[in-house]
Amino acid sequence: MSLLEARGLSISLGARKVLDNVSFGLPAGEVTGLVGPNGAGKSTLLKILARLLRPSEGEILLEGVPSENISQRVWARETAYLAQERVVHWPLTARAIVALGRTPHAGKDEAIVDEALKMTGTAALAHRPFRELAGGEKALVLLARCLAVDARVLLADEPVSALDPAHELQAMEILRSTARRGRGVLVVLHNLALAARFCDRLFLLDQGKITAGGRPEEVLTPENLRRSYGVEAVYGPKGAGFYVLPWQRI
Amino acid sequence: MKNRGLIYVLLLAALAAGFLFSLGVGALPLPVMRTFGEIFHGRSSEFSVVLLEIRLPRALLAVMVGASLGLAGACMQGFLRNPLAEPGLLGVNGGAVLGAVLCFYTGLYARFPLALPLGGLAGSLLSVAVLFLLAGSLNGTLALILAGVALNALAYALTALFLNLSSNPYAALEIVFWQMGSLADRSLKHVALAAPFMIAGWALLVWDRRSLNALTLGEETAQSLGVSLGRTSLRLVLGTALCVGASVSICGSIGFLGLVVPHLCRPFTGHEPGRVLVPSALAGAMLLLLADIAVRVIPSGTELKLGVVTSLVGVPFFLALIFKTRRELS
Repeated sequence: MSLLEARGLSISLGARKVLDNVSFGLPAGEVTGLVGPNGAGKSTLLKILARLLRPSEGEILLEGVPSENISQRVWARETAYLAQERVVHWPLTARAIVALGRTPHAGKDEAIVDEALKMTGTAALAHRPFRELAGGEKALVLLARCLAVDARVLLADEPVSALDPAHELQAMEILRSTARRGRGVLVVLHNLALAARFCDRLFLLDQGKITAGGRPEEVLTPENLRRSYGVEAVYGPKGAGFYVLPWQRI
Repeated sequence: MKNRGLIYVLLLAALAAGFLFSLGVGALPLPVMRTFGEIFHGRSSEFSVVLLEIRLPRALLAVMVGASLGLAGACMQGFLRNPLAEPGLLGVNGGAVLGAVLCFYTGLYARFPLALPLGGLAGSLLSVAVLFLLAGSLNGTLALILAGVALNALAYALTALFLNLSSNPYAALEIVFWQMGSLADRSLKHVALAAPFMIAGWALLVWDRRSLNALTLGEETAQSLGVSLGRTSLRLVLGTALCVGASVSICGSIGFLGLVVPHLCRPFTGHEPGRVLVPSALAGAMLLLLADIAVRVIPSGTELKLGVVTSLVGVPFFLALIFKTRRELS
């Protein structure tokens, strides 16, 4: 049984149907990637799974229990959501930001906050004001905030956007090690090379529909990339896996 | 953490000292502890009458009103994530002023003096009801701010209309003076009338301190952390209406305190919106006590109005805040 399961999710924003009958499962212990062109509905899908948006049709199940039978607070403990925007409105320290991950729980639990800082390699930044950190450091602190929720499901919306290659790899390694500790990780990615390298499974979302799903090599095919992105890609073997590099527009 | 505890201790000690000083200072210097001793032993004197009838209500109201304005200001700034937000932003002050002015205009105040605070309270609660109607589901702060701006404009236009239509120039002058804010000539009846509303308001405002912290990360992330925006905004707006509405109803408009006090406290509380609430309430109470002492000791022909003093002192702080924000943006 999947940890988190989406069944027939549909939603329209204005006159536009953003998601159309989307179904998939998120298993524990794996990194599941959600890829697709801009406007495909990836962020909307994540927001529905985090219960920030209500679908017009379909349901979400957490270990087989429909989401409407689970309170918002319990849902917040079970699913951590990392938003695309890196907004912090007051000059809090990095540690105070990470501690906000404990909001759905009764106590702050300093040990979990420390662990999240350690996992992301940001312990040395703990007492620095968040606003003074570099972009990559900010992304890691916000990822630590997400880990501090200690949820079974982690939903990350473009966690590596605008990061340099080292920080991209570091963030993806953290997500993978989180998954290996029995969590279900769903990550929205635009970087197909990272998707191929770090995701155990991928779903390709195009115009609100899942058009492909499976192992990265089954999803990131030349045909799928041509149809969904309108690009030709360069492929090559690397260790036990492969790499993919979008090369030119068709 | 120790420093944060120290802030509470220092503020409480300063507040207690300011309170005792406020009881003693005025046209008739008063030996506070000795007078309390007299009251305790059932003896009446000139001092005990002044203490119980004039100074104690005044000092208690300064603490209650200052705490309400400081707390509500901190809540509004945290909720709207705007350092320039203040308690009156959502139209509560305007509604309270309009309600009170209606009591002046209709002559109700002349027949029943407590009609003034009751009218103010009714005005502030009515303004909240209209705010909820205008802002819809309250699932977003922008709609709330826009609705508050519209409400304030309407309330001040209607207040001006009643002033304009007032056939009695003395009543109009009384309205103008009342709006400037004052704690003079208030009794323990005013304290008893305001206290339940203020305490209920404080409880509602402090309830959401963890939600205010989570809102630091934006509305979406806060919601993903279990914060219900609808319920939080309902509690905060209602809490502000109760305690600030009661404050305005009892002593008129007192500007800048709700805007400035949270900024004074923020550096000592790690800038966390939830942590700044109680220190802002304590500091607001202390500053209003000091301002009220100032209006009594500054030599002038007629006693200065409290709202005038807080505004005169508050404006330089406000300007400093503008320059600081400008520096941060450049």
